[in-house]
Amino acid sequence: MSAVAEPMVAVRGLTRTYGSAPTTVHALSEVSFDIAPGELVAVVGRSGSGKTTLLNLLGGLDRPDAGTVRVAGTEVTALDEQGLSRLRRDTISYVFQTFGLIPALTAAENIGVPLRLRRTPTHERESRVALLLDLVGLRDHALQRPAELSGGQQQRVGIARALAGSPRLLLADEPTGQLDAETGLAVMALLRAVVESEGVTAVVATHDTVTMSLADRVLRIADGRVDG
Amino acid sequence: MPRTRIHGATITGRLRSDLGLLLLMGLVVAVTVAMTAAAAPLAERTADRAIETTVRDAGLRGAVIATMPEWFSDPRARTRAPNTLVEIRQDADYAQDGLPPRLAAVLRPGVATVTTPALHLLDAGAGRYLRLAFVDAPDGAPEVTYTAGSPPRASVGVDGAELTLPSDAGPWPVQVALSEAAADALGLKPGDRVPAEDAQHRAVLLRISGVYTADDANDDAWQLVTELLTPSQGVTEGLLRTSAAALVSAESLPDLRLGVPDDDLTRRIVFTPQPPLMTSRHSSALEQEVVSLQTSAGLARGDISWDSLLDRVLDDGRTRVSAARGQAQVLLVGLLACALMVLVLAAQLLVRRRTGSVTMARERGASLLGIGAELLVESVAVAAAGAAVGLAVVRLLVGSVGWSWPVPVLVVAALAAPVLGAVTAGRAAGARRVPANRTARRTAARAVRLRRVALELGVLAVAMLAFVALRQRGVVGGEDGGDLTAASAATWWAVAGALVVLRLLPPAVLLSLRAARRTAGGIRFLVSARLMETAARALPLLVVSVATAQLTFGVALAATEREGQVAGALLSVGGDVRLTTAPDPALVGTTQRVADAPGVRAAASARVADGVLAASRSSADRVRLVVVDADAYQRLLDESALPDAPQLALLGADGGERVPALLLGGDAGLRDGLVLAWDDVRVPLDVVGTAPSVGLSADPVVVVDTLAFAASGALAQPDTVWAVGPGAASAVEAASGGTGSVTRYDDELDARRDAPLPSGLVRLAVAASLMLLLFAVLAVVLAAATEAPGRAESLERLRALGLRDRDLRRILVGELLTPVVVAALAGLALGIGSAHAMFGSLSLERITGQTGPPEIVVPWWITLAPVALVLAVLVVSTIEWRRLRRRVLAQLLRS
Repeated sequence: MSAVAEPMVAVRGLTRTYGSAPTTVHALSEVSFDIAPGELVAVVGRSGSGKTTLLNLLGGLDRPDAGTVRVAGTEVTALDEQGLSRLRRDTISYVFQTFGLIPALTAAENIGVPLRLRRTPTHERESRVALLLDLVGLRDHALQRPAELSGGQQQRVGIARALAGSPRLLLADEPTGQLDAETGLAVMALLRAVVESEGVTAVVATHDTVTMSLADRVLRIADGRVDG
Repeated sequence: MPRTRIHGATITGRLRSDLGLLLLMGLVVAVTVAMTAAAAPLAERTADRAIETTVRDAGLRGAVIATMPEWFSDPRARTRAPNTLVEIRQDADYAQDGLPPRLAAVLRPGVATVTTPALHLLDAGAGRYLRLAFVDAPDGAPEVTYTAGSPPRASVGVDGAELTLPSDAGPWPVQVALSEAAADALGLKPGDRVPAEDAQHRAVLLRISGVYTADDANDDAWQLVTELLTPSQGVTEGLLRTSAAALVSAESLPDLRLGVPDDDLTRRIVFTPQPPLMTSRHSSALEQEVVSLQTSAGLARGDISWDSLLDRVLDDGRTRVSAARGQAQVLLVGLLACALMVLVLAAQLLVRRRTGSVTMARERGASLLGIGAELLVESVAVAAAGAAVGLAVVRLLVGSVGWSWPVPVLVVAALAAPVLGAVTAGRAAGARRVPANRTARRTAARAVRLRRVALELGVLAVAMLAFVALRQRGVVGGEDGGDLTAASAATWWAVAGALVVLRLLPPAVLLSLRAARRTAGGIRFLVSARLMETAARALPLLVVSVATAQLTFGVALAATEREGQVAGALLSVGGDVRLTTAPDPALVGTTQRVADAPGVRAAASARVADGVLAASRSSADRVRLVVVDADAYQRLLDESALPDAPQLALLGADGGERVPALLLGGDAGLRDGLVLAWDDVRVPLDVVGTAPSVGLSADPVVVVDTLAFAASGALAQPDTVWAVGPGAASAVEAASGGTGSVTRYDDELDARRDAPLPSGLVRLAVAASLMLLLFAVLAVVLAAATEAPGRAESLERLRALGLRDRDLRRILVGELLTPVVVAALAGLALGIGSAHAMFGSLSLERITGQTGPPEIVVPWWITLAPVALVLAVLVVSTIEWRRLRRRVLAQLLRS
């Protein structure tokens, strides 16, 4: 466990169950852990082990049955919809498995979407987008639309978009799930690099061993409990 | 090997899971089937009522008249024939037998008449004329009550019933009776013996036996010889001329035959139609029978000669029915097209909701045929249930159903979902993948574009053809009201216009997106980005555009016809009120009293005579002659909503020997040296301008000034008074003293609006418009529901990126509203455009009763239709927004 005084993510007694008796599924049961700022954490486990549930609860996309989640000092589980919206806009961002790009927009425009939602001034947005395009190595593809990009390039755009708002926590659920092994590795290497360069904390759900090797720490989930 | 087995449990499960949507589809089928199935029987019924009304309004113009050959005239001696009445009744039976069976079935039994020409009465100077008339209806002569004297009797006793007179014998007395009006006009009384002569100066001796009043002046028999009850007076060559008719009884009929030269006696059998038996379906055959009857051998061969205007009356009625049917078809085609598109839209939603299930079925080995068959079972059940409900309602309310219009509804309702489902399953799990090669992808995309362009060009070509067909042929056509190609012009116009809008929308959205690129905010930018994906979806935009266009067209049609009826009624009456009497010089004073009455802005009197023969150097025609005080008439036109006629001022000019006249209609040659035959006077006219429409006349109208006309020696006493102003009706009624016929504008307008064809068309237009609005709203809802899953996914991602709630709503509204507003405004413009382009070809004047196409009216409140659609979008977007903001984003990371 990191020795940093204020963890970026602090999870205490987190519990989430689905369904009702007698078919109740305990996706997470009394889970507690901390993640330090700037850490890249891989969450691993078998399918259905609760990886996605954990990421949803960390990102405020779902509500726990019990326990608390604190992100950058804010108790996520206590926020209302407006507060969650603000949190998603300013503090947390996501990388989607299927990229989730807007087909009509160019790569650069897709990256700029979070900045538009914050009403960032145009020149500031454009320079940030240019920086991120450089960071993910897509400067030459700035004006191409998603359909004109490969899967790996699309996920790079997705990562750049996730970083656009300078979030403090980045959540990615199987970000290489739609990619071949080689492209997936490149994407994860990029993620590792941008985490370091942007100083962002990242939690990546995966069952890819290569991804695990790039992580600072690995959280293993089994039967609703976290080990590590 | 793919499976083709139908799985019953799957069908039941799907039915349960999409019950609401299936019920909606069933409802659309039921409503559309009901409306289209009711259209044919209602149209038939309305057409029958219209033909009935036309024939009834035509009165004696619709009678079929048999003129019998002259009686044999023995030059050596004249013999009294006491059995003349029997002969006449045999004539009636013979004529009845000569009628074609179908025509005979719709005519009343014949009324026999024996009439003479106007005989000049010689006892008290010139100017008095008397026709002799015997009238024998099947139930006997018309009932009268003698106020003085007695009925005409035989001039001899029973012994002399078969008396023979030598050829050089003097005139034989004939007893006749006069109506009170005729006796007053001629100054005769019972017991008077009146010498008379015919046009060949052959002497006839009359004895007035009595004076009577008709027990029922409205009895049809009196209409056959109107002068029996209504004598007429006029001035010919400066002399007063009084004409009347005297009644001959069955007893004095043999004396009439003996006392009047045979060639002066005209025997006719008049068959008047029974309007309730006249049906639209048989009108064409009846018309042909009347025409063929008139072209039979006739008198020249010593047989019956047939005359009738019933063929023209029926033709006029059929033409109006045909015009109304054509207009109704225009509305129904639009309604049907929108209903079909809504059904396809609903099927799209159904298939979209089942994409997963049909794709899985295909992947598990089901054949496309099997998938389609499973969906077919379901949609046939829905279509059949909906149709059964619709047809049952129509059967219950209308009594019978029409089958042709609902068929396309049933076919589309049954086939849309299976076909779309099979296509979806085939695309999702078939071998047709997107090519990996970029060139191949471009080629495939080009092929798709070419197919679309070909389809659009095809639609444009069909729209053009339909428009040309409408302009060239109009909608007045065959038995069933014109051809479908012409009737579909407005719908094709709307479809073609909507396709153009569909073409223009993506570039417009792209422009909006480009314009939004440089802005800091994200709403307009993101709305434009979403619209780039969704706005070009053809079907929802097509439905909204076409429905709004057809709705606008229908509302404009109803409004134009209603306004046209206002103009038609005003034109027909000639002002706010019209008094029509027998020609009477006293009407000049009546007019002055009316003009001076409070609440009367202007009044004018005129002589209006139809069928006046007018000839020029190169042409001849029957015209409506209007002899009017030009100044007073000008004031009347100025004070009313009737069109002004400044050229009336030219009528007061000195035209020398020729009377200045205004002429409306007729061929161009009629203007050159026009001469009127008025009574026995030839009146040369100098056509100095165009006449205003005076009443509604199919014949050309000639208007002359009263003084100028009198100066030519041909006086015409007025028979019509027009007045305008809020107090005109009561003033005319008070001044008329109960004589003559008063026609009020309000009554005329009500009668026109209540007439079968106009009221039926307005009802259809209103019903169709409401249905179209419903279809447009349904299209909005169904399109929103179809795209909702994709939109939700996209907007949830934006929510995950930090989209605020209120911005979510704005994006949602922007995405849903923009295409609807564009489509609705385009539809509005297309509807107004098609009204202006096509109303001229719809023969609206046949329904409004005007002489020309009515002025097009597009009510301002039609703009409420787009407003209603906007409200529908706001409701839909609010519902969707509430659902979206409540949705947990838990599945988002994996999507």
